[in-house]
Amino acid sequence: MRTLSLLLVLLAAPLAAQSVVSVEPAAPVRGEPVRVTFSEPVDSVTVTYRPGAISARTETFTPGAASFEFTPQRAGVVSVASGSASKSLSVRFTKAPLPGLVVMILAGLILFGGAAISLRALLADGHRIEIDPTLRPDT
Amino acid sequence: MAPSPRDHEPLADTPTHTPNDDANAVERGVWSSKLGFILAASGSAIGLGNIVFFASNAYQFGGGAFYLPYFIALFVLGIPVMIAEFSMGTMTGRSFPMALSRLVGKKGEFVGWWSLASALFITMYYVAILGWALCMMVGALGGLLEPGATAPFAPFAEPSATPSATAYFFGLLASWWPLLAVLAVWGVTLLALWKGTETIEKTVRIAVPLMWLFMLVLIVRGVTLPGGTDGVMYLFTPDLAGISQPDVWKGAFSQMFFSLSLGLGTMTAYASYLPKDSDQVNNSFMVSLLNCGFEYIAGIAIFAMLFAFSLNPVGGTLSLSFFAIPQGISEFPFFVKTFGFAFFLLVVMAGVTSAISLVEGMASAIIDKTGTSRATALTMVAVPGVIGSIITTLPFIVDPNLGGNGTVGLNFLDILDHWAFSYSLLTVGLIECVLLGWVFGADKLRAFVNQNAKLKLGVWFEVLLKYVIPVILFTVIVWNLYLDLFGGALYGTAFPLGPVDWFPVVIPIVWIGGTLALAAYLTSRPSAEEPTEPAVAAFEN
Repeated sequence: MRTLSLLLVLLAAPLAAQSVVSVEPAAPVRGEPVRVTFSEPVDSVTVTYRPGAISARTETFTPGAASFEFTPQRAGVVSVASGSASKSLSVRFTKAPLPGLVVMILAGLILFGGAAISLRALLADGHRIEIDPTLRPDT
Repeated sequence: MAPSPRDHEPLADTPTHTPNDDANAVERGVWSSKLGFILAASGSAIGLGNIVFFASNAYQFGGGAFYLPYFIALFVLGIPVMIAEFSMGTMTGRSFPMALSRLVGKKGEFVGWWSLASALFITMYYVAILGWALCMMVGALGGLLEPGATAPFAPFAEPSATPSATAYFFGLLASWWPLLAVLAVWGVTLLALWKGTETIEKTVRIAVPLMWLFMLVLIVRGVTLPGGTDGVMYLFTPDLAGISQPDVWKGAFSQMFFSLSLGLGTMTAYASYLPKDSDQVNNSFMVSLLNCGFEYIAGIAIFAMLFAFSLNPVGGTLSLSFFAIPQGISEFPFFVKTFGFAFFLLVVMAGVTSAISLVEGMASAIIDKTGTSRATALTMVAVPGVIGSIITTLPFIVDPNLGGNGTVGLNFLDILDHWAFSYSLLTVGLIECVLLGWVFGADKLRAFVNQNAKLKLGVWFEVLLKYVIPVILFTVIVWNLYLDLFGGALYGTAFPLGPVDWFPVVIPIVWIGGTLALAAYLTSRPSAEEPTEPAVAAFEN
């Protein structure tokens, strides 16, 4: 809830900026140049990786023209802003990142593997599913 | 861990047993199956926050790197506290306040009632949110995901040129429909509680599997969108830059406590309907892992959907559920209305199964304390609950310049949520651990749990309950309090609240004063049960 107003701004930003900014290619990829075009020349452009996050990183460019090019160093959500004009981009990975795959598999194994083991214990002999009525609380 | 001789010490004839318990047990009800209990408890834990809150935290706190503090929080704090809460229920066969009363005496009962009084406040606005979700669910089949949404104030006065979930939501807030929806949600909740465990079990047997099914459908849709799989990789790829920051760890510990519905009395109430020989270690692991597993797959669905449309998964439960995700769904190439409807149906089901447990926690406590009928207990909870929910959803727009675009209810909810939710759960958890660990005795609790546990708890459980968890919770509470009192203005005072600018001061005072007074009153009332000595005395014999 605290971020309600922040989100409204974030949601409104890309909508408002759509008329003033264009991006080529439409689906940018990490390490490949991206051309951003504003409706009029801009002095300064801020590129923020993972905007709103605790580890957000910002780069500033001074194109002095309506169009400028940058090469995203990281995949993920990237915000490109100049003045009131801004646009969010989803920068894709060049290939599936190994650390991401490892975390995904490990976390899935811990959570669902653990749940499966617990389920097995629940269903095992001696841990009957149907509760004996004589074992009601405090009886 | 090798079981100690004490693990097999018979504890069944503890003073937690009283002569009128047999009759009460029949009256209170019992789960018909262990699976029913697991479904009910996991349905209680899996709520609105699980669907979007984890995704938001993971994004803000480093993606895959967030899993490190998250898992530490799960195993160090979440599962041990859940074991304690479940065990209180099975040990005493009573709901939260009366279980604490039996184990540690009147001071425990007071803490239990304070927890439930706070839970009542939380239920009021929680059901209001569910009412909005119900309206959005119906709206998904109508105009929610189409252009032309309006609200009777700027900046939504003109029909939107593209689908705007935000405009639609605020238009909804300014109408009377949410009041009807709130009444419907309360109706469904009370219906599910009407015959206690019997009807709760029937409800969760349908709702919980459906929640998982719908979430899996959303995952399939999300990852098959252009860029969807990159969104999934974005969720899991660790960004270690922020991992050393204390906020990340605070976020993980808070998230775990809220996510598992600890400190609300619901888990103890549900466990009180289990037989004494239940394996609470296994039950706790299973419910916690299912809850976190649901967050895992929800994170995949949310990141895939939002990444595909360059939407940022930052925000609270409301803003993500009602604005960002529907905005993403509106950009789906096909079956937009079906997916919109399915998403909000998922939200409503997840919320209702949690609301059921919140109300049950309070109703069962009233039954235990007063010996009244279930119908009367439900009425005693529902009347103030419905009034509070209605206040939150009144389409009363005082001033378009107010925070939340002028709706009093949204500001009321926001400020109440900040205080009641942020502080009561953690504080109850802290006091609960201190009482169980130091007054009742962590060793005695461990001995009770180990009687029926396949995986025996070691001494580490006592260390966690007595030292580690209280220190963690105390640190988080003091830190939050410091930020609230000295980190700037009182929460909400920065909002443009116009004629209700007294909200930020009055709401926390009413909440803390009201809940403490209610807890004191309920604790002072005579109990329908025969008075019992605190169980700790007998354990010492």
